[in-house]
Amino acid sequence: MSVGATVTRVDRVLWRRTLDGVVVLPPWGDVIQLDRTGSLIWELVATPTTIESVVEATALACSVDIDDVMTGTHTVLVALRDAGVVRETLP
Amino acid sequence: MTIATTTTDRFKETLRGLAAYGLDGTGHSLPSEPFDDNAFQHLLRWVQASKLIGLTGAAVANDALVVTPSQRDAVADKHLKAMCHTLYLERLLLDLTDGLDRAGIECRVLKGSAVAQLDYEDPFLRPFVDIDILVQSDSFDAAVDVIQRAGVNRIWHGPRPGFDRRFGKGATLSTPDGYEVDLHRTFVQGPWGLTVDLGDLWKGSRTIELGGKKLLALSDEARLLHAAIHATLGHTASTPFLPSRDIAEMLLFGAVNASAARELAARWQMEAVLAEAVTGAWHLLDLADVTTLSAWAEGYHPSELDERRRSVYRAGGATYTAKSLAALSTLPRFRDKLSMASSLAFPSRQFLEDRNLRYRDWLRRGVGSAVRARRGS
Repeated sequence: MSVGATVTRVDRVLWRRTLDGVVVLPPWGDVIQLDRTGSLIWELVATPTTIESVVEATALACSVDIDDVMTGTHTVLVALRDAGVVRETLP
Repeated sequence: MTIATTTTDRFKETLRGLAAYGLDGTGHSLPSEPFDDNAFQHLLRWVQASKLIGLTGAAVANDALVVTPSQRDAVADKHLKAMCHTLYLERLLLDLTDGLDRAGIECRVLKGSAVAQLDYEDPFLRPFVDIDILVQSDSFDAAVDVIQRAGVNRIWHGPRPGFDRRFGKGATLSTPDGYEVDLHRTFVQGPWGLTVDLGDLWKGSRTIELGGKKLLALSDEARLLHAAIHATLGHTASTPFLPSRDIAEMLLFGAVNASAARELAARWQMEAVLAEAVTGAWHLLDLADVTTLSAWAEGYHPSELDERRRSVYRAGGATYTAKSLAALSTLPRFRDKLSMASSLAFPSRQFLEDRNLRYRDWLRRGVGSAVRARRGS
């Protein structure tokens, strides 16, 4: 994903909380299960947010350094984008 | 025997505690010790049958229901499956309402999906197993066509073409993979289905948003009355844990206007249904809180006509025919009574095939139902 890009949920995506995270259903295909960290990222992209802000907020929530969550957060965002539930808007 | 009875009592008390979980005014509590694994599996089956997996999930997540780690995993798994099911149903709801919109057919979302979004703090607490859509009577047949074109097929046909549009509750349809859709034109089969002033259902509305699409649900008061019907006259009326919780959520935390709800109930000749549902919910959930409607319901006495109508819906006698025949008395025009009676007396071949019945069996059944209906008319 590109530096400075914003990410947000796309329309027609449905989701619910579960005991261990959230489940997300795209307009087509099967449900995607997200664990607690994935759920946090899902909450953060409820409105358009820069990728850097998502990484920072995730690090803060997990009480770790940004570098420690950078790769994992990017991986989750790419997976969500490729599944068609999150949209990336280039700066 | 004693052990089994004690365990059953413990299950029942736990179910009541789960149904009331999170309500401050309840006298119910949850057990302080975990069940053994075997008993817990039984309890989970009861929880699922009572559709309480959402509240159970919340109770486990907040450590209010004490469970072992493996029991927690079992609850998480059942809850996950229930939530996935509701999401697939909501996606179907979006697709079907798109089709109805394109056909210019106005609709309202009823029951589970609307109640989960509007009446609970989090829809995670309120699973549902089918979707319910209301359309106006004159759009009913067109709406069935739209839904069938989307690959959702009718399970049960009405006795004659046009019967459902004029006298029935609606139609039940299902996708090939088993997701069920109830298309309504009123709330319930039988006399209380025909006393509803259908125009009232379209006068007010509340908006829910699913996946960015805005959908309309019934007004707070009409939603309460529908929940009351579900709690007292529906097929879950013998164990109305979730419908009772729905009513408690609406009255304790919702925006129901008590006088408007009573006026609506009176106009629909359903004060007895509302009173029974509210007192039933208050007793089942053991609520100490008093609201305007709970106080009124405690003091309400049903009339003889209410009792007769109520008897049509009681378990055992609550057949399709009995309810339909009992509804005859509520029809003001003789030609409507005649039309309804003749449709029931001479149903279509499709109607009989759906029910795996021969005509003479249907007639025999009809005579028994007529006796019950006479008591309820």
